Amino acid sequence: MLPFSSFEFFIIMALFIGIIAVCKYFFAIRKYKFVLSFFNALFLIAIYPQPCHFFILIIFSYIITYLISEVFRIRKKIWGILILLLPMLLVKLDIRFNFYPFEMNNILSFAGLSYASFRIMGYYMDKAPDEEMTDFISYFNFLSFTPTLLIGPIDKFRRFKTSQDTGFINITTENFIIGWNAMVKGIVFKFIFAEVVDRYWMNIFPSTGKEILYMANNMYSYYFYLFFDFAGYSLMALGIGKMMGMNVPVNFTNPFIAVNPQDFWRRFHISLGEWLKDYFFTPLYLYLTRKKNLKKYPMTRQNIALLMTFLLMGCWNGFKLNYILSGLLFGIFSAIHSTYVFQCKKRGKDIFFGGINPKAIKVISIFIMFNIVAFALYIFSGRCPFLN
Amino acid sequence: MKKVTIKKFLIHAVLYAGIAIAIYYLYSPLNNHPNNKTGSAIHFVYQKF
Repeated sequence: MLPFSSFEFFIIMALFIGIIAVCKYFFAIRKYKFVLSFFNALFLIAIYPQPCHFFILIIFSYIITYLISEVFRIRKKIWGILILLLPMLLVKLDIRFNFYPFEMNNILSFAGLSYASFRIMGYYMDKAPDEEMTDFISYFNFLSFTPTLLIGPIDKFRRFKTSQDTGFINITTENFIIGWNAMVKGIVFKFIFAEVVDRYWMNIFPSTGKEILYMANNMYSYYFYLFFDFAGYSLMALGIGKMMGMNVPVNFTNPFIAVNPQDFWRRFHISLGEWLKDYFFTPLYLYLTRKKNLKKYPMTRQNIALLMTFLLMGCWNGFKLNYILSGLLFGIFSAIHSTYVFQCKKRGKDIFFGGINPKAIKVISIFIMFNIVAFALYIFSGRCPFLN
Repeated sequence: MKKVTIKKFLIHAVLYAGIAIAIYYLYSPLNNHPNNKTGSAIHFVYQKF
């Protein structure tokens, strides 16, 4: 059984939360991580499909991180990244090309591999060269925390560890109510709103119809469907995490009112946006800054880094034309916006909206963003008839 | 203060009842769906993706 995929999952989580809350009165604060690891392991072994795959990935990544950073002390992080991401890369490539003599997906692939790989790389990137390797229990909890096992949010190890260290202290009535409310909101989003959009809006017209009305219907309905589905999952994970004593990061905050692409990624799948910014965009931008040819062109550097970052995001979803194209579109939107802001600053005035009321500018910006995001996600959905 | 608490309780009760009814009417027909071999309506919906 996958997390949040059946009614029984919620019963199991209620049992886990209840037992962890009782454990608070019998165990010392520092023992929380052992209690949590017991339940994470129990869920993986007894309920999760392909638990061996997950355990092997955790042990493999822990040993590799230890060897690279503690034994061989390799300074260039790129080699470590490539080794740690190898299982995910092989699976993603296999989906598109199938050029191995056997089905690689059957051996390596399992639900949650992508998110686990992101967290593994995040830990490796954040680890300073002289910093001691974390204990295996905390590392195991970080990768296998049940509510975020399948589709995130992508937490950072330091944040997770801080939350874990005060796990028993976080189990309070106030936090339980906050968690409960988030979980109920998530249930409403995922199991009512997303389902209603799917049944009574998204599928009323043929999904691959070439009529403009069909395409517009698909475009807007898919945006709402994706938001309610994904935000619902994230809220349920946040809520259950909170009731267990763990603070799970917020992943969505009203993306429909975003005024520009940067603002959008601060509201939509926030943890992925932050991950890409911290571990790909910033290092790439700094790398490009050191290039002689690009030293005098900060805008070119930024736009190259933006395009590459969103292209990577597209490829991460799978090596398929719709994913890559949607990533590229998001990159182009961001590059156009940052160039526009740069030019406005250079000229000391807003080029297009100079004399307009700020409130009207905000409304126009929200309208433009809503439509271009809906279009990019429509491409992402694979429902566009011209890409099939 | 007491009135506010009672009002809040009643709003929550109506809200939760609404959620429960909506979920029941959305998912219970799927328990008898001819393609449903999972025995769980939510699991069945999930499998579509």
